[in-house]
Amino acid sequence: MIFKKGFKKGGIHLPEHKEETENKPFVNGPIPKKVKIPLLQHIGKPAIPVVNIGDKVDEGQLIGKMDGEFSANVHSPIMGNVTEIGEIYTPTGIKSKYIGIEFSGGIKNWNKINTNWEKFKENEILEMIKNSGIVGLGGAAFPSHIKFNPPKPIHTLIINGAECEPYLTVDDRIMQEKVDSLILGIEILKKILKPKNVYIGIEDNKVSAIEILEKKMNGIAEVVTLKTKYPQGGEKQLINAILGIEVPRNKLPYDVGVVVTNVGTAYSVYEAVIKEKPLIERFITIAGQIVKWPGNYKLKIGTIIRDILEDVRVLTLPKKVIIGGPMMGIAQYTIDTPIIKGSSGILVFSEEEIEKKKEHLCIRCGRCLNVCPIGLFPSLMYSEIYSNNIDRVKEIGIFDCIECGACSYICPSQIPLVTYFKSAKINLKYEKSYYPNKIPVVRRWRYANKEE
Amino acid sequence: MDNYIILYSTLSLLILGLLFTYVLIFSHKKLAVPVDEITKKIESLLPGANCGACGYPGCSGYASAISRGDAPVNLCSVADEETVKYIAETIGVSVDNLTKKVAFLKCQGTSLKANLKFEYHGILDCWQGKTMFGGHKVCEYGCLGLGSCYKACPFDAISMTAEMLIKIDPTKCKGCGLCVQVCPQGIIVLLPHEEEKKVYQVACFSNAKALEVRQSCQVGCIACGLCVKNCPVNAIKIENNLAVIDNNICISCGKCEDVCPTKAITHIKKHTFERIV
Repeated sequence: MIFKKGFKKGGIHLPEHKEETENKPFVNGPIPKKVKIPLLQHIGKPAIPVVNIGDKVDEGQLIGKMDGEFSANVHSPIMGNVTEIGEIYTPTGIKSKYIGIEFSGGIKNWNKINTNWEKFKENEILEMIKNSGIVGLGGAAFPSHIKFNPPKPIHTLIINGAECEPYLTVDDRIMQEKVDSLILGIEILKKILKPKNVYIGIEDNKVSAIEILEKKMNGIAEVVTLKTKYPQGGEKQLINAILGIEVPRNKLPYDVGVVVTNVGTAYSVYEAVIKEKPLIERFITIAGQIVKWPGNYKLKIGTIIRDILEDVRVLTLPKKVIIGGPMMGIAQYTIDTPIIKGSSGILVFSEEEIEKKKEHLCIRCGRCLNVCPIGLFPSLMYSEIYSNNIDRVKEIGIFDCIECGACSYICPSQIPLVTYFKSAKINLKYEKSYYPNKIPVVRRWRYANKEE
Repeated sequence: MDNYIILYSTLSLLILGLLFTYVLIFSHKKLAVPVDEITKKIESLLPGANCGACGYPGCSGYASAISRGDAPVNLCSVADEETVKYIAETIGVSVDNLTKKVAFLKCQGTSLKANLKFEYHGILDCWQGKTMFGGHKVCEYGCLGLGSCYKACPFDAISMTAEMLIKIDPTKCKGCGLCVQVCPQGIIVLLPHEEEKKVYQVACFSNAKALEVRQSCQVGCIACGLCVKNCPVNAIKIENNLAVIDNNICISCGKCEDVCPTKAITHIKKHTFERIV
């Protein structure tokens, strides 16, 4: 096919850096001696702990019960004893309660295979997904039992295998290695969602994954080859690329009759329904030039990053460790943080690899306007934030920003635009924080006088 | 022929000019909006900073509220005592107990004294700094020094320093309280400011236990209770691992400042600060 599909507005072409790990098959990581499992790993309310210090827990046992519907269950990834309950910052920068478990020996075999899953009712499957604590594994960690129970009937299910972030190769490897399980997972999703069409969107740089899936699919889902362009894997961008429709402002995909889910989530749905195994492990890409053994690993949730980096042999002292992709991931201040359900990669950089950016003034070149996938005006929003005109920023649509980082990447003045938008969003959320509109007028007047 | 053109154009412009003059005179006299003389006078007396500390939309709004009799005359925290007395004379009311207030930062943890978690390279906004792992200082209660209050201050009383701590100049501060509103940590308080008496206050806001405070900051309050024992009028209490001084009881003897082992107790100092940023 000559004309490949892609989203219409904006987008950037990034250096991919995937060659380091894309051919490395999954390796099971060692069982950690100690894990710290945060109770807020998802969007919504934190889970309530149901174990106490000194309790013995089994692998896969429920340790955090969901608080209300908009929350997710948390399970113990190892057999062991609960040693501490405290507070810790998760890799996303939020403070959360955690449960510390020390490994006591023994592993559980997840041998059970439900061959008769086709006889399960839909609400039974949804209940299984809910009990397994599955959240979206693409990064946002939205509770899956809410996503797979849309209030309106839907017509299209899109499986997201785009993986547009550089360095990350987990979804690519799942599509190559776990293809049979993935197809079963998609079939289960088809049963509960009843879509008319199922698409699986893959960027054209994953040649072998496309080949394998096209061979194995047999009409279960249609494989759509997409252009390699960032942010192709964004939910709204993917809908735009595959179906050609745009999700309206302040609306979710199910409002246009679509559900988008990640390849990793579909795989964990398979594990939850067929094997009855809760979400206690996830696939993670570990990459970086100073890592001796970069690759794709299967790690227990709650493993401390320091232990992981020791296992993969980091050669020199890392200067920067990012959890997630390089565009939307978050740099960590300490490597004593545990990995959580939404962490899709660990990127390790030495001092030579990172460049410190110095912010300059906006030169109004308009490159950010060209690359914004939503069609916003980043330069205008920036200048309004700069002059404290926060209400105007809301009018021009700051809440439509998906924080993809394309504008910050392209900016020749190296302005961290996304950081400004994030901070403006926080300020608008807390309302009282930004100063009233009249204040900057006074300051502007004063500075005008000073310059004379 | 050419001379006539000049003559005609001059005459027509003259006639037009006279016509517009009469239109303007008519509109000035007949369509004028009546302005209350007292409101006008009060507005000219008020500082004109439009800070909104009085709760009215700018100085003109407050002036009209005073002349209507809806608002007391001492709401403006920017105006000094003489101005308020003059306004009171203008509308014919008496006024007593004018307390001036100044903002006070309950933190002394510069980057030399307080331990840092990480180097912060982001944008200068306290709310952004706080959401990333709770700020770049180990102490989660302290001043982040990223200058949200600096941007909000209309009187140039707040300056940012390179030591990750803001400084408030009490001579410039008018006590409008805008910095108190914008601070995400809530560590700026308004204190009564008096000429003679020193106003003592605990410059720490940490509710953490003594060990944590000691590990994170050299100048934090560890709630040891020495100030409580030495206070002659019992103005100090320990609440939630933090000493609190009641300024209504305090006699400004200064004993607490002398005995404090971590030098967390201080008073509003009147010298101006050297401006760095």
